[in-house]
Amino acid sequence: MLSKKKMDYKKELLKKLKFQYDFEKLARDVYSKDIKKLTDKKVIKTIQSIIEDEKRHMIAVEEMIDIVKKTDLKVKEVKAGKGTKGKKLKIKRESTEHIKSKIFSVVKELEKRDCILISDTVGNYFKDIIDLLTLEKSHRFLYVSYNKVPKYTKATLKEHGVDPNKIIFVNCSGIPNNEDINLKPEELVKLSIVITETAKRIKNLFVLFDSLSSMPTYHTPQVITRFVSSVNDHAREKGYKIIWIVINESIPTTLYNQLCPLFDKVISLK
Amino acid sequence: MTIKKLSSKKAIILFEEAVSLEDIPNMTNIAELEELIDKAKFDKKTETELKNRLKLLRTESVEHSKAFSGLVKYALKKEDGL
Repeated sequence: MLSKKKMDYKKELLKKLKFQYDFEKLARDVYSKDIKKLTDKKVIKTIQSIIEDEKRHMIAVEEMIDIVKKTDLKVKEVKAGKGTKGKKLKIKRESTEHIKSKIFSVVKELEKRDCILISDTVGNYFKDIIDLLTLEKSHRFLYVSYNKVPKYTKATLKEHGVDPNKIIFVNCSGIPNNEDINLKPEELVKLSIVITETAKRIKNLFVLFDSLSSMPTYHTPQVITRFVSSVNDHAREKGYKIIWIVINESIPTTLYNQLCPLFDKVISLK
Repeated sequence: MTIKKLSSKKAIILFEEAVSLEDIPNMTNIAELEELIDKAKFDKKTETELKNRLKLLRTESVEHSKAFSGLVKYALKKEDGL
């Protein structure tokens, strides 16, 4: 028989696998619809290959669901031996605690520094953002969503118990909506003004920039460096905090090396 | 008959929406699945079977996100549409 804790993990795992299956299906359907609107052969070929991947992913997730459903016999049960009655079984230190302690180190750094660069992986960065927003919930955040559509950010935050209504979103994705401050990704001067004006209005503001890695799509390294430098200078002068996120896999090394000296601290969460 | 191209602006919207989908709900869920598999402590064989499939999802999702970001750059250059 499975212990209560294992049952909970199994239930949670099946729930998340169902979500994953629905996501893969949604991606397949959305991209299949998108492809019909396009005529460029290169783009069509790329998206077709992604659609094929999504179909394989659906099969892979279905297989995972089957494996998990059949785990009753496969899961190793830890039998309580002599002298273990009433004692809690020690569980190996988990990766989440490891990451959370790293996020905690970011929070600690923010007490004494104004401008921090968090270097992370595409696989983990948003989970780390959720942890950061959870730990710093007493502060008001200005979330600069540089190339992500805020509706997905907000839905995922909500799902993880972070109230998106307490966060001011600057939507630079180029897909405007009625809820947020909408800017084009090219409009860096306007973005600086929004950050400055919000910092004037809200005491102890935290600015979260997601992410620096998408900036090279729209700007040269010189422009990016100037922008980061000027925003950081302003944050130090006016005393608000700014946290920049960079995704390791998606930024040229030369640009990353040019940017690093502009921050008070660079923290790697890899 | 001339085939009507999708404007670059509209194409960028499609691709950025795709980057958001791949990076946020998808990658976050994959990261959580990884944590849960570790916590559940399956036997070695089951764990490997699950993790191999998850690795495939993670690796290819990262590739998709990169591909769509690349398409945004491509669309920015193609002023006459796609």
